[in-house]
Amino acid sequence: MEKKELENILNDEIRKIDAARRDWLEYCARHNVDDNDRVLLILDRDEKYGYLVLKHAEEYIQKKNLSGLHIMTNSKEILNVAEQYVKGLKSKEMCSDGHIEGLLKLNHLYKFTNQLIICSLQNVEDVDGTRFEGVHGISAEDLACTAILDMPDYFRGE
Amino acid sequence: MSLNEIEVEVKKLIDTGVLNGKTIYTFGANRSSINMIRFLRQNNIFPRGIIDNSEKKHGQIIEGLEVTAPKNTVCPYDEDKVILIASEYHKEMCSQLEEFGYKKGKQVFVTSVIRKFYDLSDNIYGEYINKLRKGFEVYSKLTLDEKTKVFICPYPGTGDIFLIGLYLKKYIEDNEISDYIIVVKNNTCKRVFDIFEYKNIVIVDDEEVESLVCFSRIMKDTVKCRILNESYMRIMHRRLRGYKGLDFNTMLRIAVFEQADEYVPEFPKDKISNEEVNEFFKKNNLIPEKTIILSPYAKSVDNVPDFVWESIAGDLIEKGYFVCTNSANDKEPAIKGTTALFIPFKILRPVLKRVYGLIALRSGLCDIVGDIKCKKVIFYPKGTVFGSSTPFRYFSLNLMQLCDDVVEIEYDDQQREKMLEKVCKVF
Repeated sequence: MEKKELENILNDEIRKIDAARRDWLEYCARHNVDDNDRVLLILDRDEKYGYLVLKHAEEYIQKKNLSGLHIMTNSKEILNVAEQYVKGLKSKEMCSDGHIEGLLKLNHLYKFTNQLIICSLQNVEDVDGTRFEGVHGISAEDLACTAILDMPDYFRGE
Repeated sequence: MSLNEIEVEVKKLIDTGVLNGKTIYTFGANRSSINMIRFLRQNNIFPRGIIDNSEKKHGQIIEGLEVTAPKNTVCPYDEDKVILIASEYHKEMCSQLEEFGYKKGKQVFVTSVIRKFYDLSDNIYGEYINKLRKGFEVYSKLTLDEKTKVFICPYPGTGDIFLIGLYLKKYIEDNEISDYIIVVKNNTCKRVFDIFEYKNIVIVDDEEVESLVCFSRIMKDTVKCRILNESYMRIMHRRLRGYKGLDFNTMLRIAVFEQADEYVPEFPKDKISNEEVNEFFKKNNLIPEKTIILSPYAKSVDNVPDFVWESIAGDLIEKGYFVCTNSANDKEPAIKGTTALFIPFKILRPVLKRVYGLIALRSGLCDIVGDIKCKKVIFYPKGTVFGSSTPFRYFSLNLMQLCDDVVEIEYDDQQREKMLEKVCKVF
């Protein structure tokens, strides 16, 4: 590949990241996302983990002493059922695939905020985190609560 | 020897005299605190303790110092107390200490800010965009050939590099990679890869490696790069370290090589000639089968106190062994009564095959020689936390199944006599 060609691709990526940064700041202003809120970004390509996170969302708010949760998703189904899982959900918003990909890239460049929780382990970072499923008895629910929500002591039911 | 960022800042404080006659604490039971404590001691300044807000850490002994809660240790205000901070949470820590009456720049000193995340300001964001552009330049200099795979080793731990070396050959074969470049941070990493005879190893500086990591992450659909680290820089599955018994080796095989059980470690062939090893023994007056090597220094875990090593060395010498201290530089002096010995990586494994034994604090050296059949005792710090586990559970060579014959001991100062007996029984 020519150096110039590679540079052009990089410039395109930087434009996407710049747009994601603007979108995020606008989103936070639009929904009054405060420091103690968390925004769950749920991807339609990984609804399984999205649902597992939603299942533990109330517990997450309690354990982390959060003010509340917002949901950002490209899944209509998740959007429709969100309130069934999170009472007092602060906001929910449908967003485009492009918007989500931009945010994932910005988040992969560096952890720009602790407010955004990416509710997926499939190819959103260096490796496919779902590969840990089944290793040492680790379940998908373990992964959702530990790797995504940083809540290894989650409630496992009676 | 050059000083790292924290050491430079601590040295400035020492030179200005602000630490003279003060009772010194470090804030944060973390690696940076350990570095500060070690550096202060090298300069004959002895901190009193470590304060930390995490209740889980209270009562732990790190570098021989107890971890306590700030409110129980530096409250009420005492003008003779000085608190050194090297933490990403420095702002929060300073505010907390200010509430007790301490002043930043007078009794509170930040030696490293570290945090360059959770911040979308123009400055920090711009820094990462610049890193991306710099990463592009670094990558372009390495290769523009789309077939060439670039392996990036962002963490320079020798043990990490050795474990990567155990599996990388198979990964290269399985993925039919014909051309590759391995990017490392320093010559030590290169020397570890050299043990395996990997080719095309390029050394770049810290900033270039980090830039390359950023570039490879954003350009992952365009360039063929792979980050060879089990959980580099705040990625989510890092939280799995130690979870349900996940050890370092398993984490590495899954996260880096995408394999759990299929990959078995391929230890290096050790092609050093007998003559070369003989020459090393002769030059250092070592008696094969009678030599025991102590390796008391480690970067990633707390040191076992010198007097313990001196006691072990004394016993072994009395039994007729020739005892050496593995010493890479003047920061690693020989344990009293023993001889300092510098063993280059390329000859380390062949030398260990001929000596009687090794007694080591857990370090990267242990990974390199773990499979060698000599008597081995390894100390792990007790009472400290690593991920969801302990350094022992996460890094145990036996549990990682890299060998099954190491006597592994979690060092506990309260149980010192029992542990020394255990060591004695081995030799």
